[in-house]
Amino acid sequence: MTDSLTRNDLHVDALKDVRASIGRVVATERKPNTPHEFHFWTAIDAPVGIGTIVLVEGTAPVGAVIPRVYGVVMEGFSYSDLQSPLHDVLGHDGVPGGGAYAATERTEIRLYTAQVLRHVPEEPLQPVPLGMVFLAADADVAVALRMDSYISGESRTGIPIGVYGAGGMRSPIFVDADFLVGPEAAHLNISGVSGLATKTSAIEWLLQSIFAHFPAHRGTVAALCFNVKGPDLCFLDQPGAIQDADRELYELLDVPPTPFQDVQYFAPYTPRGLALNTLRTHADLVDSVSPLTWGLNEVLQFAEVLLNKDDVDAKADALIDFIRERVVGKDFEEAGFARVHRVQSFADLDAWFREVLRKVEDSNGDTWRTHHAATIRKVRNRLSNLSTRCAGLVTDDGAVSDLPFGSFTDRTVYVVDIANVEEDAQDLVFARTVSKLREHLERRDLGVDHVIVFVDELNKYAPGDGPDTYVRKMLLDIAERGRYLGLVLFGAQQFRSQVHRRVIGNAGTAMFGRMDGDELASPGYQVLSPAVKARLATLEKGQLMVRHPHFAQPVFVRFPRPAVMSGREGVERFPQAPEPSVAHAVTRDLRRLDSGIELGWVQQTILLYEETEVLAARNAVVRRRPDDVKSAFARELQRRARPGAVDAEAVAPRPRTLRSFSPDEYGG
Amino acid sequence: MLPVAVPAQPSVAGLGEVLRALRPIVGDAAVQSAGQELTLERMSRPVDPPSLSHAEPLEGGGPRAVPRSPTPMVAAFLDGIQRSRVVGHVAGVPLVFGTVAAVIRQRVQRRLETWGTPRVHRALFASRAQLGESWWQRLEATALPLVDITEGQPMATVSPHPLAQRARALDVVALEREQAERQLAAAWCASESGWLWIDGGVAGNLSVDERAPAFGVVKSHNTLYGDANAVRDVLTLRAGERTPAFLVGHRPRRAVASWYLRLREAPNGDPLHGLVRVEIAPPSALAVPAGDQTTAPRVMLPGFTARVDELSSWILAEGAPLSLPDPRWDTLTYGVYACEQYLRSIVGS
Repeated sequence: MTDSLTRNDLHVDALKDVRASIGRVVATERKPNTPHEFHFWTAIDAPVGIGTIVLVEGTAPVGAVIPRVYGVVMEGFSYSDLQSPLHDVLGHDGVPGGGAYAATERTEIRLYTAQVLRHVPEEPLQPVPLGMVFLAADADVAVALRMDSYISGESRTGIPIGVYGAGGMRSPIFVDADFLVGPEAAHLNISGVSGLATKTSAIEWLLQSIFAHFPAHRGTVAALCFNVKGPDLCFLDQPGAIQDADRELYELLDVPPTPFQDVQYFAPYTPRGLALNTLRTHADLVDSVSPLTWGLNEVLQFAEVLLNKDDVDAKADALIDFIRERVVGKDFEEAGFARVHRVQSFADLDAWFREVLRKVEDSNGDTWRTHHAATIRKVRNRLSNLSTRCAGLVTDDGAVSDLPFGSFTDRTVYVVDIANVEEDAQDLVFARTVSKLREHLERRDLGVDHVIVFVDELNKYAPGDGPDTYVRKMLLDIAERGRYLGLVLFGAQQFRSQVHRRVIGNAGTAMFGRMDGDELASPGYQVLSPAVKARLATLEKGQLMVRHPHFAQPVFVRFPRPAVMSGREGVERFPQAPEPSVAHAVTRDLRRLDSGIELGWVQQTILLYEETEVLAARNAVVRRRPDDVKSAFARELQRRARPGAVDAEAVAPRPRTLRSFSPDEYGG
Repeated sequence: MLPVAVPAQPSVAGLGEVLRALRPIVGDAAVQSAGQELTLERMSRPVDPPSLSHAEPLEGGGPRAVPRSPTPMVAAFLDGIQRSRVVGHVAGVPLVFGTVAAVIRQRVQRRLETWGTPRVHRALFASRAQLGESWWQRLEATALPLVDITEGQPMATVSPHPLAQRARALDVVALEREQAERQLAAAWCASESGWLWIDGGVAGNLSVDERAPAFGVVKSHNTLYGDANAVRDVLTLRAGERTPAFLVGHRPRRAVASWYLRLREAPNGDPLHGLVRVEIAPPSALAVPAGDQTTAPRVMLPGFTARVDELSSWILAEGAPLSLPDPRWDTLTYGVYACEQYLRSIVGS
């Protein structure tokens, strides 16, 4: 007979392997391994779960190299040596707690299916070999996710996105700045159910990480966040409470656990115009919010955002173009007009319209410069209505207070708070702001090289179906061409399946928080295994699944709570101030220019004026920033209270010829 | 306690390697068909006719209920398997490739782990006398381990019938398996104090003496021990009952103390359902030379009946989990079933 196979050396070597490894690759004819998938079993108590990254060491060299294969666990199975559940029923006499005490537990298996992340060497690409399976250590994770090409060296571009953990080990996970901010790929999309503080928190954390790690050799970067709901982004400059566990993550990922150092807030006024339309109105914070107000010139460029197709047909469009090119901001002189018009505000525009219509009526004709009177009336009605629909944002008097286009600064967050304004105004803010960003980035004079634009509720602004709105077209444009300009879209939504596929498809990086079961059942998630879906449906706060161009498979990470005050905490700590009186509002705004302004003086000064006159005077002073604020304010009040001779003439009623319009003329 | 073992690889990897080595000798065609046949163990074999055999009573009285033990005290299970295949013929003489393996599975925190190193033996079994020296030397030249199944047999008693040689090879392989099991049992008894459940009898195992913490459990009952009345008692045992112990004299093996125990019953069903026979080494004072025909029960040593009851209760405590889907589940305890599963995984079916 042969030896009895008790060779101690072989035994000891094998034992060492068993203790170091956590599993063995298995393959059968019915369940074979492939180049992209393999199976392995582990002990019952092995620290392996869905998302665990493992390493397979081959046993036979290929081209003189022992192959190593990295994979991530995507499915798990457990079963015993029972052939039928009925056998277990028999063994327990039909009673779950019955039957004899089993001194021996049944043999049970944990069988896992892993998707391949990387083969080393990459060629020849072969099925995964049989071999021992090990938990991936830090270095293994870096190789498995191909991070080794961008997290070291002088030209490193790694941005920490979170920590991968398994078996007591924690490995930092980096995404590549070139694929997150551009130019190789760009954009990020995050999905998750609402209310679990995942989407906004993840974006806030990631911005902190980008600001801490964006490489200098890739230029400068700023972020512009549209706060479209609630107070989520209203307290980015305030420190938030973080736990020790979060602090450890910050340390591990080398990101300072501090709030954003440079944050600039912008918000339109309330429709009444006394206070800024933001939740950040507490006395301690309101000084750091700048008004966002636009006049006629700013709005007219984006009239089609507010005017739907029913409003703007070809004839109306032609008239709007005429106004935009020939009227606004220019001296407009025409025979028959009472004066030369210089249209700089909605009020000016309305005076100009009145003059045009009067001339049409005086001439007893139907048209003015080929534009039909009905068209003129319709355009006047729609444009004049804009300042009403967007009250607080759009000013009648043409006062402009805008974002600092051209002087954006590195590592600064610009928050545009439009949570409390009407949808039309939100669309207008979004369209104009992004257009201006694009213009400046094309000219390379924005002030920074890259701007990250964060838009929540993407399924509302870029839906997969519904009308082709101006905003959606803009988002598609950013998604498809923004990376060449440095204009990067970070989008978030609850239902990824409802967002336009070109917006989703162009996002180089995707993150998933806890997902709704119905959403996971949609076709876009068919590539995920049932186990991954189950994990996505039960993710805790602070956990994400990340897809990135360098990662062959998605990876689960944990990220720290952002070191900024949450919206809920912020509104409790800094409750919203009640809407001030006119005098208080004017005092507050003028004090920014002159700290010597007192409430009593303002009350006395505005006593005899209408509210609209007072606010217009305030806007003018704030816009011009004069040295002598008191005098300037008083002059503006007087000027608005007494219309000039020209204005009086323009609005004075004059006798006119009556004529009737046929019904079709109103149809345009 | 020895550490958990890893099944070591035998020096002969398996059937494929043997077939490759034999190709020059038995030819391609024979090699191609060799691996497809059933193992000899699965082929029908002549079985001895059922019989009754005399047994020496060690206890008086009739069947008795076994007091239940709250705690399972069996520490480990031992079992072995064998696989034999005809891999070719040379000059009409069958060449049998045999594999035997044995393992002890130890219970650690209610889970079974391999104790020590399992025994795995593989070899080519053939009759040197029938092959002749020339062929034998050619086989030796292949470096395959060879076992002469007719070694020591007078030439006149060696049958040239190929089926007889197959049967002889099968018997030799079985002896090798028993040897592997005995080696493991001896290793256990020499180093461990916990009780070892051995699948099968212990009569031929000299290491299982009266001090050894081991007992055997026999599941097959082609031979029933005792006279007609005793056998009637055996067949009507109720679940949890045992018969009085008796002494079984196995020529040429030594005598063992034994008793029947009913693990499960099938009312009005197979009277052998759930019936096992337990074997232990008897205290030396009770051991008698085989063939002593005394019929009166021997005077029991103090504590022997208690030990029989104790072992019986431990065996009954191993009634769960069931070893289904194995058809022998009524008598095959899960620990032994797990040994078989383990051995199949390293030897093959």
